Amino acid sequence: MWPKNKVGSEATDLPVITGKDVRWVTYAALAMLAVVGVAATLCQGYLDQLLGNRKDIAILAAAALILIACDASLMRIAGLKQKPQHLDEAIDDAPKGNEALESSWPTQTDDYQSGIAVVADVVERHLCLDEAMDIQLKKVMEETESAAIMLITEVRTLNDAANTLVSYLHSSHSTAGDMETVIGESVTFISEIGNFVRGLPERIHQDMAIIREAGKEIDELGKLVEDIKSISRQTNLLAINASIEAAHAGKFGRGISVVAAEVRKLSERSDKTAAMIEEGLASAQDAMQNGLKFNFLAESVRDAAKMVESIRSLQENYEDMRQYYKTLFGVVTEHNTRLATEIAEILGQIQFQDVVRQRIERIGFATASRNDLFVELSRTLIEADSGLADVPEKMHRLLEDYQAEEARHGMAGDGDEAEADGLPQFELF
Amino acid sequence: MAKTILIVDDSATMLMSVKSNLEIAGFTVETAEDGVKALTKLKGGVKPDLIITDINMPNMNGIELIQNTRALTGFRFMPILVLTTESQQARRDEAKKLGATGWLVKPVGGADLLKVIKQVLPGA
Repeated sequence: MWPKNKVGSEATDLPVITGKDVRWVTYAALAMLAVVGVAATLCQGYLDQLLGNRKDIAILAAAALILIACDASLMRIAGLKQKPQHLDEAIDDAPKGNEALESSWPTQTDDYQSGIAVVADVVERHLCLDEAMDIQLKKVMEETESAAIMLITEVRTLNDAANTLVSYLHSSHSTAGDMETVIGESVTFISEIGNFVRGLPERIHQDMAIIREAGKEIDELGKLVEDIKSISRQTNLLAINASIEAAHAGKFGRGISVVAAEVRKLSERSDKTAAMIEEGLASAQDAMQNGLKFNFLAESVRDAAKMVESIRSLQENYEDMRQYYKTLFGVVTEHNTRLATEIAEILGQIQFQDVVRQRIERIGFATASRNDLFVELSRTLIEADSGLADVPEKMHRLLEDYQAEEARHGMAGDGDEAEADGLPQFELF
Repeated sequence: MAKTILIVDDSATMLMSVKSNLEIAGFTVETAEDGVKALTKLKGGVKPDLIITDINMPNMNGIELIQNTRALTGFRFMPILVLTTESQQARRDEAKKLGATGWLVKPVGGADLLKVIKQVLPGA
């Protein structure tokens, strides 16, 4: 990450020898003086024999050597913390300073070259890391693109399925309309039959009443047959009496005897005819009585009426179903329209994949440029090149270029306004 | 008769999403991956009613495509919409000067895109 800008001049004002350094050196000097004092006391006899009157001078010389050693130590520490002059200038010349440069500075002068080697190694490893991450980012872009395309394909399939459903419903709606016409005509015809069948029992009752009247008249005819029989019997008796009287009259009654015989024959024929009429009337009465047995016919009429009622009910149910179907078609069409709108929005939102891809590409480009600078930094450190001073400026320029490039592209706004610079997301010229 | 729209973008995602959106809306859609391919199609007889083009593309970018398209006979007044992630006024002005009809910043919702298209293609 690019470090936050700091005032770089602070780096050159750092104290070379700190109070901590002085304190530790003082402690060391006092310790050494104490050791010299104790040793001089313990070895006083030996020192007297060896140095004689020069013993005190030797002790003072030892103390002086200790102090000189302390001073040298402090100078050594100061030398370790001293930076090369050209680097100080580079830091001073940097536009806003560079914390990374400060924090990574080697702390041991003797290890300066090895520190530079470490920096070069870190830069190299950093480049490798970036390369590995770049591969992953490219993979992410490819995978998200594949996923986006798959999503678009699925969404289109969904849309096609919805359209197929609506087309099917539309076709069914048309077919149902045709069926409605045919069924309506059939129901009208069936209703007429139903009305006829419903009126049939009444008609049959009327016809039966007429038949019953005819039966009564047949009964009346039966009485007339009895009258005919009675007349025939009396005629026969008259004929017999006439024959007896004709026999009493002798040859004068012969003609009457012939007439009486003919009358007797007529009487016998009338009697036979009356019997035949009686038999025919009895058969007619039986036939009528059988015809008046109403149960079976009435049951058939009731069944027919039930059938007509069922058909009427079916027609009503069909009408309900048609209305339901019409409502269903309307609802499905409405939802399909909403679905199409949502699908269009999903397809629009999928464009974020391209927006994100382009952002990653811009980051990749900036990262590659930064890595070039890292390589340059590493090279200039190793070669102690004077070009090192330009690196912070170049890095700063890289940041500005990246930010400018990002600013050129609109941010993903929620409304009609692009967030980047307040310009409209849609503009017709 | 369905209007024809040519979409020019180097992103497969963009091509597919916008194509799907427009086809569902009843348009006939042609696609091209960059300005060169788009120009080849135009010279080859494809006569769209509208071009929707990206700006940043390989081989030939959107700005160059607008310029080259306007130079072709019969394409002087055909509407060209720019659909890009860029939003700066300077780029808009450049596109406008070269003959672009409008500027849309990605991503654009399906309904919004159709609304803009209906504005530049009355009766579509």
